[in-house]
Parts: sequence; C-alpha cells; structure tokens
Amino acid sequence: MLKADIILEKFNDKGRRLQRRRQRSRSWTRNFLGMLYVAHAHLAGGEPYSQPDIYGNGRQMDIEERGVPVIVASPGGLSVVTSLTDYDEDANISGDLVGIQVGEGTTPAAPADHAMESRIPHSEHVPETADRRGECYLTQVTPGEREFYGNSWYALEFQPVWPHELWMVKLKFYREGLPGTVTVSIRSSLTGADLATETFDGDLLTTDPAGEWKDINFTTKVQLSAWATCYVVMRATGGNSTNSIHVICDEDEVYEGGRNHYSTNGGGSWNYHSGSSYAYCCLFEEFGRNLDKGIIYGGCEVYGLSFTHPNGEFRIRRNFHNASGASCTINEVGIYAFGTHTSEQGWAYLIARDIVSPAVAVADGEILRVTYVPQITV
Amino acid sequence: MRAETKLKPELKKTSPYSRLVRPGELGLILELTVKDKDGRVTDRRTMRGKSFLRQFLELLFIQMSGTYTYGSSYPYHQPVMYVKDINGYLRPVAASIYYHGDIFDADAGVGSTGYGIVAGAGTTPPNIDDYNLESMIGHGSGAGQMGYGAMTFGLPTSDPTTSHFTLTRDFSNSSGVTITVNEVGVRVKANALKYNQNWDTAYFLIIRDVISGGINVPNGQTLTVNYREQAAI
Repeated sequence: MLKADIILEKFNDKGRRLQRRRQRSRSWTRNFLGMLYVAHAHLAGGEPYSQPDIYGNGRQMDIEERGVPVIVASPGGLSVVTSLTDYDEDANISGDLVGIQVGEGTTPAAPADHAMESRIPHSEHVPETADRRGECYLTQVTPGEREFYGNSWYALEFQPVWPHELWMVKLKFYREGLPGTVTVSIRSSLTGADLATETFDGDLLTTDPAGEWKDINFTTKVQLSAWATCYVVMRATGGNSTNSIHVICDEDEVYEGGRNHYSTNGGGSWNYHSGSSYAYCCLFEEFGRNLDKGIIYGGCEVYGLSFTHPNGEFRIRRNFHNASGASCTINEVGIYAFGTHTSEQGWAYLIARDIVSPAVAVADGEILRVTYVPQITV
Repeated sequence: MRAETKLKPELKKTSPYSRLVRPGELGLILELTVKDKDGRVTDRRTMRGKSFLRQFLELLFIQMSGTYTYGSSYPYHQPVMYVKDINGYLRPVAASIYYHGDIFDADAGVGSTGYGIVAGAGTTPPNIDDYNLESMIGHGSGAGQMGYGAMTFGLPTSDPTTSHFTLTRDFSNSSGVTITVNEVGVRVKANALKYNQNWDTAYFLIIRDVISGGINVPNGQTLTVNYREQAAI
C-alpha cells in the first residue's frame, strides 16, 4: 500500500519552530491514478489519455519522451520547470504550479477533484494602501478637443499593464454654456453595463478653453486585470450643442494602449477616429491599488528516499513564506504534478488534496513548511 | 515475524473492493479467476494486494524528482538513480534518458515475460527488497510453463470515495498437468544508461504478492490475474 503522512511545521521569521503537527493524508486523486495508468499502459503520442488539468480543461497526456513525467520537484516562485516532449521540443510551466500547494478551501476532498478549492497564489506582493498611477496619456502633439452632450457621447479606451482596483480617473475639461450633470462610468465593453459610475456638476467647470483637471473618484472600485481593455464613458445627457462639455485631447494617435470612441445615439453604437490630426485621444491619468496578496512559494524538494523492511518512504517538502502583511489561514494542502503531451505542451494536474484539520494560521512574517511523506509497507 | 503475520491471507470470495483499500491508501486489489476451456469459472479469489516493492517507490521518486539525463554532450553530472533490475543489477535510471523515459511501462505483448503481470511458484513472503519473483513461471506449453497473454488495461474511473484502474493478464495452462501459482507480481520496463552513456531497456519488479495456499490452474484452464490499483478517500 502507498500511503502518505503530512507534516505541518510553522516557523517565525528568525527560524524558530513554533508548531509541528503530523496527520495522515487521505486523498490521492483520480488524476494521480490517471498518470500511473498512462505510464503502465504506455500510451504513445497517437493514443493519448485525457484528464482535467488544474483549470478543469481536459488535457491529453502520453508517454512520449519522458514517460509520463509526474514531476513534482520545482524551483521556487515563478521560475520555470521544463520538460522535453519531443525531439528538441519542450514544455514549460511556472514553478509555483508544480509541487505542494496551499489553500483556504474547506470542502472535503473527492477523488475527482482537479484543483485546490481556493488556492493561495504565489505572491511577494503586499497589498497597496495608497493610490498609484497606472495608465496615463499627457502628450499633446497636436492640441485638440472633443465635445459631448445629449446623445453625443465620448469614451476613452485604455489597457492597464498591472492588475489593480480603479480608484480614480483624471480628465481635463471645460464647459460651454450650462451642460448640467456629467456622468463618467467604467465599462469593460462599450455597449456593456456600467461597472462604476460617478457624476459631477458640469456647470461648475471652467470655461477657459485650456481646460481644468477634474478628479473622478469612484465609490465602486472596479478590479482591472492586466491587459484587459477598459473604457471610460463620458456623457452630459442634459446638454446640447451650445451647452456642452469639451474634453482636452491630442489629435495625433500616440497612445498605444487604446483610442477614442464616440457615439451619436446615446451609447447604442460606437465609432472611432484614427489617424494623424484626427485621433482625439483625450488626456488622462488613472490611479488605483493593487490588492493582490498571496504567499511566497519556495522550491519544492523531493528527497530522503529510505528503506527498512518492511517500510520505505521519501519526502516532498515546500516552504511557504507569508510576507503579505496580514495573516492567512491554511485549510487545504495538495500536490500539483506536471504532465506533458508530445505536442510540445504540458499542464499541471492535482494528484493529492487534503483538508488540514484544524486549520493553520500563518501570521505575517511566518513560514509554513509542508512535507508529504509517501510510504509503502510490505 | 511481524511481516509474516501481516502476510496472512485475506482471501474473500466476494469481498467488496471498498473494504480492501482503506481511506488514505493507494492500494492493490488482486483478483484471481480460473476458467475452464468453456469459460466457466472454476475458482475466483479477491484479496488485498500488499506489496509495492522498493523499486516502485524508487521509480516514483525518480518521476517526481524529474531526474533527466540527455547524453554525452552534457558537460555536467548525469542525474540518475540506481535501481535494482530483475537480474539483481543496479541500473542507472532517470525520468528521461536521451529522449526516452518509459518508466512504469507494463504494456507487454503475448509471450513477453520481461514485463507486465508475471506469475511464479515461490512461496516466500514478500520482502520490500525483493527484485524478482522467487520462482518465475516461464512462457510456453512445456512442463511448468504457462502461456502469457497480452496485457490489457482498464481506464481510470472513480466514484465519490474511490478511484481506480486495472491491469489484466491471462495465463493459460497447456502443460498437460495442473500448475499451482503461488506468487504474482508486476514487472515494468524502463530505460537505463549503459556504457558510454548509451541506453538500453531494463526491467524492474514493482509489485509482488504471495497467494496463500496457491491457486491451482488445471491443464486446459486459464488464470486471469487482475491487479486493480485503487485510491480511497
């Protein structure tokens, strides 16, 4: 029989051990048996076996080149794990997705589990407590402006390169006449729903054509993903051609993260201008906070093979350093293994998942060491 | 003494599989079925297979640690582990050697005794350091021989508490007399380095179980050995 124990140890930032506990692992998953099956049945490239990867997608495996690697050893953090899949071809995966994992999920393990229920990601990031500027465009190669009122709406498209909550957008306006209320909203698509909306009194804006910067602070903070397109939609529906808002723009198209869009039917459909002297990309700055947090995944070691009849065992060990600025609670541990296919692709598969009982609280600065001890007894 | 006690048979004519592998275990269920030439079952046993051997854990360790060796062009240490083959020789093995790994290959064809499920006549209780059957039954129809069929495999499947897959092989007796099978096991094929960092095929015994009292296979009948690798939660 193959069994495993789990050893959970907690250390403070000086390396002093605070806690040590050992419990029986109960949860070799079907995916682990699937990998052994592919190996035993020697399924070659033309006859692959499919099973769900950690994202639930059916992925094919075969024995080409490495004979069903059930690779568990990995470097720490985001360093790469590489495996050959064919002649001079390889598959790569981030090291944190291979080896022992930790999470906050509490649902009991089941044979068909394909992922940690609530994995704590690898992260060295400390959640930000102050706004930081993200995307901006402050260049006026050819000064210009765009006007919006009534059903004539205007939108700015931008693409953040870091994930963050959007807290504020700065835009430069002036008014003509008395346009009334101005609405600024955030959308993930131009015709989609407003994800966050703020209004201000357009009648209080300057009438100076040089414009003034206006801070739009959002009560609802929209989570922006890196490289996901975002739109800032502006309108003054109570205005008209002589009572309107003018947004300061650059008529050249220099900003690479997006462009302007305009609608003449109240946002029902959209078009855009492009080309030199016709782009009308508005000046803007956006500010937000990256609240990502996780735990730092150390390298996953596979070591300590030893035998004394009737027993044999080895160890799989990984350290997790909590530098998130807050405590986290570990309710589940598991193992992801790297498997490959001859098509130069490879994926991570959950091969074991266990509920930690009672849970382990890891305070900021502490290190959790998780050790799986696979054992056989004749 | 403890080992001998543990090897007392747990032979159950109709034991539910779920009772044979306890929660938390990845275990073996060994099914032995003897059929006559008309396909009628003359004997059937189900038992808890107990004996993953040292080589199983060593090969699993190699896979999980990802040891890899490419060839003589590599200037640095060749990361291999030494595993005892069925002839008792320590063979340098890695998860991948050159472009070939093949660790745990049990997909043997008809008549191939090098790997797949194998049968023997030995009665000595398993030891974790066993590297071969005690007394291998060869392939053929002569005295003391049995016909080894091709290996077949059942797909992995699961229910709410268990998951499993199976390895199966038929052993036909055309020797003219009854043959008693006392031990069964699983051999696997893997690639091992040899001289000048070339490689060749090596065979390793990863499982060995002794059948208490043996199971008789009369002349003209076939023994089907079904190893079910099962994990229970």
